Amino acid sequence: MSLLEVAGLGVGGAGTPLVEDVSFEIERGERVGLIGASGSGKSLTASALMGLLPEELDARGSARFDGAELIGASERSLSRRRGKDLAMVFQEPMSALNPAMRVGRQVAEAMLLHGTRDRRAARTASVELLDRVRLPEPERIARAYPHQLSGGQRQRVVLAIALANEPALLICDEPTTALDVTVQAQVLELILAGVRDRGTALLFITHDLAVVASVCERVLVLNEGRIVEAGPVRRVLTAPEHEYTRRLLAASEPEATR
Amino acid sequence: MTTAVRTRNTSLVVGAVLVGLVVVTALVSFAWTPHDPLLVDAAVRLRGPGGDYLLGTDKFGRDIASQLMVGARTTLYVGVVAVGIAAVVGTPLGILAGMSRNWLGELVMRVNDLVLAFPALLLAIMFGAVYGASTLTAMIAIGIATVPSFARIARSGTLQVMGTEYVLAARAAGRSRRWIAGRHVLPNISGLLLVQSSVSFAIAVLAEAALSFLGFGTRPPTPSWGRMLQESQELLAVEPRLALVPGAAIAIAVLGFNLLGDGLRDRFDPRLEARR
Amino acid sequence: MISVEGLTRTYRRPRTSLFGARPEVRALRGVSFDIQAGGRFGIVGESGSGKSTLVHLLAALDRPTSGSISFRGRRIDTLPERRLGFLRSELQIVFQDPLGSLDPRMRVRDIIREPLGRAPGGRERVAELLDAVGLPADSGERYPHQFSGGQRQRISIARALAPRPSVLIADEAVSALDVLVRAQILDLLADLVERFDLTLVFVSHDLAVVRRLCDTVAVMRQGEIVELGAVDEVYDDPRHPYTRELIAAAPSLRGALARLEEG
Repeated sequence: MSLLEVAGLGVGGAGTPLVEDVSFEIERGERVGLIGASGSGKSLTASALMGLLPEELDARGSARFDGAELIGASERSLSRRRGKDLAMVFQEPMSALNPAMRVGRQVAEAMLLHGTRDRRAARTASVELLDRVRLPEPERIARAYPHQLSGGQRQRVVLAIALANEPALLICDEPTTALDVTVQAQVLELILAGVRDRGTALLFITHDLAVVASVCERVLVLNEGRIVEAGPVRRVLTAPEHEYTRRLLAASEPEATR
Repeated sequence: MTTAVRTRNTSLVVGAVLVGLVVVTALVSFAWTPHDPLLVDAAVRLRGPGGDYLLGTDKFGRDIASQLMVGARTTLYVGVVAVGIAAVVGTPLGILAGMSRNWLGELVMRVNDLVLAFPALLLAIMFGAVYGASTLTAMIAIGIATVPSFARIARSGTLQVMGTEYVLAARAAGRSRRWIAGRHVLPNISGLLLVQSSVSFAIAVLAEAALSFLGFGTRPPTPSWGRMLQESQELLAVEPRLALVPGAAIAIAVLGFNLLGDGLRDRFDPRLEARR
Repeated sequence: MISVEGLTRTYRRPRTSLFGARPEVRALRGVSFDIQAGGRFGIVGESGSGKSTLVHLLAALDRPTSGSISFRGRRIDTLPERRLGFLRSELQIVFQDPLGSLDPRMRVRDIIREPLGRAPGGRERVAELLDAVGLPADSGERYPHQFSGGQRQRISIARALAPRPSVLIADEAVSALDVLVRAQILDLLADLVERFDLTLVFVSHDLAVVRRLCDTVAVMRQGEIVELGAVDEVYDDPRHPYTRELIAAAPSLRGALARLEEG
């Protein structure tokens, strides 16, 4: 049994469907990329899996995680899974952190919430986690508030929170888009190391093909709410079968088309 | 998105209905009232509700329903003039303070804080003592006391608009400050101002009632809800109806304008607007 | 066309405590360069490098703390606003956020016409500009939120071209767009620069985008230019360690695919 089995997933509101008939599987420890232009439905797909769709949208179809259905599951059972079995890293690290709480406490909170550690163990573990995402002087950072950190440091904190409970699946939604180029590479490296060490599966959402190529093993290409192509990264990016994938590739390599 | 819009608009709809009720009552009173609201008739003193007098009569035998209808006029009149003064004076001051980030803007806001710190009722009582109590002095005093809240809202909205790239683009295109104020700032803060008007209206209605109750507002014999309350005072134990009727009218008007303000706020919330 | 000499800009942060000194931020620390007429000048830097401050100074939207800026030989950093009229039509900016740079309550035709003031013939000019940036002729009657990100950036470009400027500054103009749209807008910019004989100042954090559009590039870091030269030279033979770091860190599809082939 795969870790995540998505079959015929659709997202829509009152009007037109925004995501249609999306099906894919993720094995344990596998790293899968989800690529497409803005408006292609990448983020909605992730939100549907996490049960975090905006009020006015509903999800249809099926997504079985570790055998249990996610779509239509109660808020209670979903919130028990979120942050524990399924974790997510968003694009904007500032809005993902509580501005009024020290970051060490926020990392510890993630473990206390799901009862994976007691209070004292959580505090020690939070500093350890901050160290593992290579934040300098983790004890000092743990006592800082989010606004005292740089964008890259904040995203590391978010990653530490996401990995705190050793989730089986990590969903990253454009986690490096808001960061500076030189910081991007480091954060990507950390995400990769984080999931590899723990055997965590990864669903990585991005519009950047170069990032997908360096992080993922398999890739899904989404266009206008439908998967138009799927396969191993190397095959899809070197010998694309679909016209849309070819256009993405051409646009991503400015030097080539110069 | 349709369902979300519907739930958001509940307070808007209820507020509009309550405010509409007050407005229609006031309008109808120009053309028709069941009785002459000022007619004193000792023969029908303190009649109970029902029959010829829908809500009964007061201690002078005047028809309560008719007084209530004409009183709605006073209420709206006070609200419109007071909020009008506050908006016309406060908005330009706030925009000025928001656009000139130097000593001038500072000065405007400090004077503003000073007025804000002064209780509105005290100001109205002072006005009443100096110029004689009347509906007009009450309105002007309430209006002046409301200026700072408009200036504050206008300033914070202006600061937000001035920070946008479209204002930067307008400056880079050589547009004057007056153009930017008129074409970019004012249209984009109009929603905020509308919300503020509605909430200020509720406060003005309440202030007028309080002033009339204290004898510093509308003079007799002009009917006013606040004065009806005051006149009911001595008979509160025997005829609570006399206090309940104008009290309910004030509550409905205040609730209506507050709900309308809340509803408008939801509508003009920039975050919600961005999602639409 | 533009000559910048020893430019510095220091900001004072708002007071953090009532009696404490106001901390200073040195956004620019002595920047000098020249931009030739018809040149395509790229400015590359990360957040905090001072590139936005530089854009504001070039457009005379802000005043330098010291140093000078000349436009066609005339000092602009000392002129009062009322004498900057010539610059306001000669130099225009396209901003990053395609929605934030358009007033949501203005129709597109009024947005595009804004830099023209009360000059006659606005209607034909708007039609001409819409056509130049590849938008349908009826776009003028609509509002910004009715357009996609790429179309909004086309509106911004049309507005910037309205007064027939000689210099166009693009401040992270394609950074908020996704890959397909970005390519289209870059093509459009290249085409317009050619067609209207514009001098281009292109500001970006993305070296690859600058390489595609510009002939000269200045690499900025912490308020200073660390490297300045012809784009291909800087890209192929970076001298400054920071430039090397920037090039190495930029995600490159070709590089990533090459690694895949090996692995």
